[in-house]
Amino acid sequence: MAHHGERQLSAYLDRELTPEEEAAVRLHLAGCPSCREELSQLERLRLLLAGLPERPLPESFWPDLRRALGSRRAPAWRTWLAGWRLRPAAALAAAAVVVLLLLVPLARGRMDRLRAAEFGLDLFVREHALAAAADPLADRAHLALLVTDANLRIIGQPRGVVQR
Amino acid sequence: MSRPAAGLAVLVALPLAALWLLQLPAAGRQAGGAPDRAAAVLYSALVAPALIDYEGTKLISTRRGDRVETVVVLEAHKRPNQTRLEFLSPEPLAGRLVVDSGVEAWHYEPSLHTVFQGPTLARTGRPREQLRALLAAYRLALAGTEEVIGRPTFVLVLEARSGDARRLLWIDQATGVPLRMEERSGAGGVYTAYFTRVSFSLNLPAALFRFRAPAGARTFALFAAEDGAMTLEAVQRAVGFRVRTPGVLPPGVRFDRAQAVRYGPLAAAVLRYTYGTAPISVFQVPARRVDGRAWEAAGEAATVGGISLRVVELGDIRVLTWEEGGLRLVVVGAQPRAVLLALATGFSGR
Repeated sequence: MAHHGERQLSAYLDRELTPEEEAAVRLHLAGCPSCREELSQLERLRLLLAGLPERPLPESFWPDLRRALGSRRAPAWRTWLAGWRLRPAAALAAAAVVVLLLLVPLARGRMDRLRAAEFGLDLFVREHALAAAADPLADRAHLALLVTDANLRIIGQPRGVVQR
Repeated sequence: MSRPAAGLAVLVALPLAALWLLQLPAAGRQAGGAPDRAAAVLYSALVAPALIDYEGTKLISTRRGDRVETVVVLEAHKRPNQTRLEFLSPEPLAGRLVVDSGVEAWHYEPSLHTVFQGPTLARTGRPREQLRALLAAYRLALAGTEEVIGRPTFVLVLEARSGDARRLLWIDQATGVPLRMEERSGAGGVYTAYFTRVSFSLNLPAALFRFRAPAGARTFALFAAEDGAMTLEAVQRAVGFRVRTPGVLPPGVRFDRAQAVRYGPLAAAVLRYTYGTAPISVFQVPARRVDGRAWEAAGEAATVGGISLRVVELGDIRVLTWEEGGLRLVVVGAQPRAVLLALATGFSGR
């Protein structure tokens, strides 16, 4: 699976994805340290933003806004063209996004190969412990202990190392 | 357990066992002393989860690294196949919660505020088939009766027909629930699990077995797409490479089934073996698809039968891994190291 962009991770954090998209991102995050790191950075950023104090608007804000809204507007098409003329950097960025969108499918095969390289022993240990459920005499609590410990190792947080 | 509830359990479980015994295969009758009675007791243990609710405190004594760890867990079971486990100690495990609906299992790790969703750990298969498999793999004997936490139990001994795996079960006479179990091998104990307190037939509320993720918890869904038992040819078609098979199996090890398992883009061939009825898994993936450097640094080096491999001890489970002929092979099992090494040797040069 390809790495997820910041926008998709942000949408994931805000619970704005469809259930299918959310499940795909969760699966990818389980085995992708770089995306997990990006997600935790976004979480930290969100916490920082939430912690910022609210600042009161200046008294002149609403009168100025009403005045601006009441002024005569140019035709929409002229405003649009003028906007692009006045903001060449924005136009350049949009063009870059289009090029990137065209290149992503080409790069995707490579990304899948990188993703596959991240599989480790713990995935197989977990799979084995799950298969052991077929043994009718296996103790469920003991099996659960094996599987849950493997879950933690898969996300790089082995028991005994995690910090509260 | 209340007297009426215990009586009801016995009335249901024991006639079922007796009825089943009328059709018991001859192999079962030939095993150990008083085989019919031993098989009936074992059968009562296999049908108990479908008949009995219980809740208790369980101690699991297991190996972790080079030491023995004792884990305390509150275990609740609702018939037929729902389980709730709340780990109490040791400290790093305290608060860990596992809720198994019989279809899916959720694991909540409080220290990380994280939820893992995955497949159920509930037993699969019918008790009659399970008993047949157990009788084929083990010699069964009723060693006598003992009290466990003040309750009379039957003591069952299961010894592997080949190999040195040995299991002991203390089966509650009234309900068929194992109150204590020990798994041993020639190399020493594998694990012990026993109740220090238990209550039966409480009619536990269904809500106890429904998982609700705590607010704000991260959730990881860890499922692998796994096909059922396949022929070796079908597995090879699914994974796209020639799957290695052992030339000879060590004593006590039997081939169970072949499967193809997919983890996202990675397809692995899995050969499942049993030692007694405990599983051994052999995974095979193209070496270029995994990061060999990380694997080569794991555990300790060993050389056996002409192959250089790494042995990783994970307490109960040990892992053997090596690269050969462009494949990364991984053997996983709870069996003694010698058994797993002998199995690995069989794959060399195949």
